[in-house]
Amino acid sequence: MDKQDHFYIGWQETMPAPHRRFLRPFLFGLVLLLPILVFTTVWFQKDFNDHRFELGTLTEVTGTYYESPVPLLLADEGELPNTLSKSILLVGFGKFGAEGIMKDIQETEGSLVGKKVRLSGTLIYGAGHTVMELTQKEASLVQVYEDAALKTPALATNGAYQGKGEILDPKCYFGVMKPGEGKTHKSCAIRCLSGGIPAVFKPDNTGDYYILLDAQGKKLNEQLLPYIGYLVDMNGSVSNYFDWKVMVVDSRALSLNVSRKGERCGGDG
Amino acid sequence: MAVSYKPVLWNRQKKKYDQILWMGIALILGCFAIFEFLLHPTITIETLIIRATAFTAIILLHIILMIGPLCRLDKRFLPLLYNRRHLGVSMFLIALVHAAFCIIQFHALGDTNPIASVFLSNPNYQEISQYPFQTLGFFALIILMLMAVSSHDFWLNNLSPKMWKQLHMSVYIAYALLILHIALGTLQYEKDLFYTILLWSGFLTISGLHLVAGWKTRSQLRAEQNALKQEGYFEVALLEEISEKRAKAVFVDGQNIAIFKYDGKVSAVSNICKHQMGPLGEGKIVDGCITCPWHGYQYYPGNGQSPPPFKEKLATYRVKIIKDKIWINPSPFPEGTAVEPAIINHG
Amino acid sequence: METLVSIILTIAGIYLLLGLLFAILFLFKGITKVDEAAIDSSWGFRLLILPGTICFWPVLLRKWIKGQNKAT
Repeated sequence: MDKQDHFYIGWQETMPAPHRRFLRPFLFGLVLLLPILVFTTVWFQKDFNDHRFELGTLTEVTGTYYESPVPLLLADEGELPNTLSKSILLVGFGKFGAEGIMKDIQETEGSLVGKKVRLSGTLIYGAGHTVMELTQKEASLVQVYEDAALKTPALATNGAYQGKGEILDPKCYFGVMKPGEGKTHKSCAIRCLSGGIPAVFKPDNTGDYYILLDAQGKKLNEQLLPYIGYLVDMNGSVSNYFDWKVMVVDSRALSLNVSRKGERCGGDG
Repeated sequence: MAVSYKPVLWNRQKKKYDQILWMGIALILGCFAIFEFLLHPTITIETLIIRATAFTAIILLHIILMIGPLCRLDKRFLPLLYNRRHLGVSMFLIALVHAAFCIIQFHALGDTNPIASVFLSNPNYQEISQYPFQTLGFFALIILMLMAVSSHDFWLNNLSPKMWKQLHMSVYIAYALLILHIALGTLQYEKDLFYTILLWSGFLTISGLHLVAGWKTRSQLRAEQNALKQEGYFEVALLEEISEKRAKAVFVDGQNIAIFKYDGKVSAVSNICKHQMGPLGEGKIVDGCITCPWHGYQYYPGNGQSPPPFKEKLATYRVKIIKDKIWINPSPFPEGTAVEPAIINHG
Repeated sequence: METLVSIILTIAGIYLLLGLLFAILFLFKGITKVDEAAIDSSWGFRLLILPGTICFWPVLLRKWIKGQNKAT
């Protein structure tokens, strides 16, 4: 058998024929395999929801501003398309709640609670809920109307909840991020809640969402941070805050009510 | 050797290599984008970029890690090794895009410094399902970065060869961190069995290839060592035991031998000085000559002869170096016989 | 934990900043003293090794100083 000593040297013009004959099918195979691999990888991914974040588009909405328990703009009739909820949960720019911005605005304008205002922001919506980011921060206030201020409705308990689910931040979940839940989103959710965006509880098996509050009706973001990313047991009393449901969790018994099972969030996909 | 450094010493093979490489990268990224928009049209651009770059980078890393063992198993894979550094740097750049998007997406515009947030946002190091996978990715990225920034020949020359090699062998640490980053990260959300199988397939392919190549190399080494033993060689020392221009004295099969290491070579001569039987093994190579510590008598290490006009001669011995170990054939050549020194190979 | 991370990030930041300052000096002046093959090298090459210089500046500084001492 005549065996030539084919030696590959990279700086030569061409590679020896045996190397070329050998590598061509190898590379060809790779070129065929890669798109198949990509396809199957994408195929098996969980579907994303159809929530939306209108990044780059500012929308002005007129409505009544409420602050308790969390900043919310109750849009007037006709301000938003019928498909969107009029109870617009307000959040700040980035991973922050709206309280800071509204506080700054109200330092100049006086209290806006219960007043008719026109705010500008970026809409976020999905699963029947609407959120708005006050993208322009203090410049989000377009107009204050002269109408008399309305009273903030009290939260009246109308039920109880007990079940498993995940604690999320509504800004990411309802449109800014996909996915806005689960392990890969955990750090972001922690950052958002740490920045003051209200915590929302999403039960594992229903389409309801609950803004989480403590017995004093305040956000309990701080206490919830260690529970983000887990499938948790939650129970509390339920009220309505316009179109949003609110769950009052007894924060003194949080460690008993909210138990970390170490199970992964995100359901069965 | 006085050629100035160039950014890249381009030639036809390298250009072709890079063309194919970047076409491959474009193929993976392009397919990913197309399939995502077809199958999951409600995806956001940021999520697409994060996933596409992650997938591309890890595929590239697997290809990179396969090249070494593949070349050991079949020399026809060597063209893939030739420009592997471009493959590595390209992979790092894609990984960097992934990391940058992740840090901005998940950690920026919040109440904490984004990089600090990578470490602080999720401190659950005690539970596997909640493990902060992003810190694993961060450290892997640092390793890949240090490798990428030191891939030019300048660094081969200016970091010591040992340091450079150790740094670039840490790709295996980066690989381990990345396997865990994926397993404890995205696979905790994307739970389809397909992904676990895919990850295991990649890992087993890399491990399997390394084990097979290692086995083949070990068998070859064993065969070489057995051949040496049959030819009468004895393993007597480690290369690193002997200081530069110094020696180690060994007593093998009744022979008293001094083994000298000098200028990237190893030679062996009789340990006994011809003058007054001084211990040559405690001597030093000075001006290219073995110098006896007692009275300064000198001998060329290559043939055991004293420099003219001196006439003393030492017996010389055959030396072989196999993987940093020095083997001696204690059967002496007649005094003054030239013997090819063994050359020290680095890696 | 926050303090520790802050401290580490600050130290890393200082290290890299020193690296950048060193790199500017080194790529202009020192590189040719440390490695002959860098004489007549292009700015493309020097830019290419800039990130590595920022990362590995203590090694290069040591070589540069060693080179100076040998010369004197």
